[in-house]
Amino acid sequence: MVDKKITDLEIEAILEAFSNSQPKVTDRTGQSSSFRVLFCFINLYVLLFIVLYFLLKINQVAELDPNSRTEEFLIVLEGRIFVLFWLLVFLNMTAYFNFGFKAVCLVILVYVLNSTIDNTILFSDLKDLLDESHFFVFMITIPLYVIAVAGLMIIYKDNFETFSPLTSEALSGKAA
Amino acid sequence: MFKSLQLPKAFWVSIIIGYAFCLLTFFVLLTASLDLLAPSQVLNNHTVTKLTGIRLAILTFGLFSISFTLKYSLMYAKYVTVALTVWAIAMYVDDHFVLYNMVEYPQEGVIALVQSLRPILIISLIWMCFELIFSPHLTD
Repeated sequence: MVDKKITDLEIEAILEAFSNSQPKVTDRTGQSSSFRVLFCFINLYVLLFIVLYFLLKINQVAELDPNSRTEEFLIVLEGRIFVLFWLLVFLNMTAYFNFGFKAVCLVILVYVLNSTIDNTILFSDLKDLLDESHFFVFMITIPLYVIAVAGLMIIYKDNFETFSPLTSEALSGKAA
Repeated sequence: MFKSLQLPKAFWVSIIIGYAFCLLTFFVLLTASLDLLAPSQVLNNHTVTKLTGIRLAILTFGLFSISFTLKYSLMYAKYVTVALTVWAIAMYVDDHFVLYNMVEYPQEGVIALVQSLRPILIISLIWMCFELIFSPHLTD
């Protein structure tokens, strides 16, 4: 018979004491639900416009309408989507590694604000372009995107280093 | 007392380059004719001039803000400088991907000179950021 050094009652007490910390350790993001919603919105927004770009591109190749201003919109969308895609990649990477997230948010915020100012100044004279529904949607929703990025930057918690994938692996490695 | 007196000469050279760029752009806006722009462009000359004017106003305001905040707090001067640098880089990248596809600037003359000096302005701003962030002897 093995002589137990610790009783069942003591084991239960230890398990109960650590039960609160268990969900936190398993939660890899360590962020609030509103953060996740905004993060998903930002990802979906950019992906949606990437899809829209390709759809318009295919449509433009298929049928060339001389009265349509889709070509101008495509020039704008192509440049913006290219930059936003790479910024989105960096945003996801920094969120995953929990390093430099706010810096990337700041870059996106400044870039999108600059784009909004440019769009407002450059295309306010092109009434035909504003009549295009997809361009109008693009112009209208950009402020929403700015608000989402600003919100993401504000509610981001950067004091959960122990829960990030890199540091948690490092800790488990040390423990082993 | 100016806390900025602790700053090295390289910082002052960078900020002077920034002001010189603003003056040159202002001079171009007043004197140069944008009729040189290619006629096949999507955007008209008035729109491009308006955009340049607004950007110049923001840049000048930013540089004055840096000078002003240096008088009171190095921390706020650092934030303003970083924000202005990020904006200048974002603007430069955005122009290469969007604006230059819609406007064909002349390859010669004073407008081309201003266009070619933009990277120098960005380098100056980046240098100012490095000086404000990484200089060990700077204290608020």
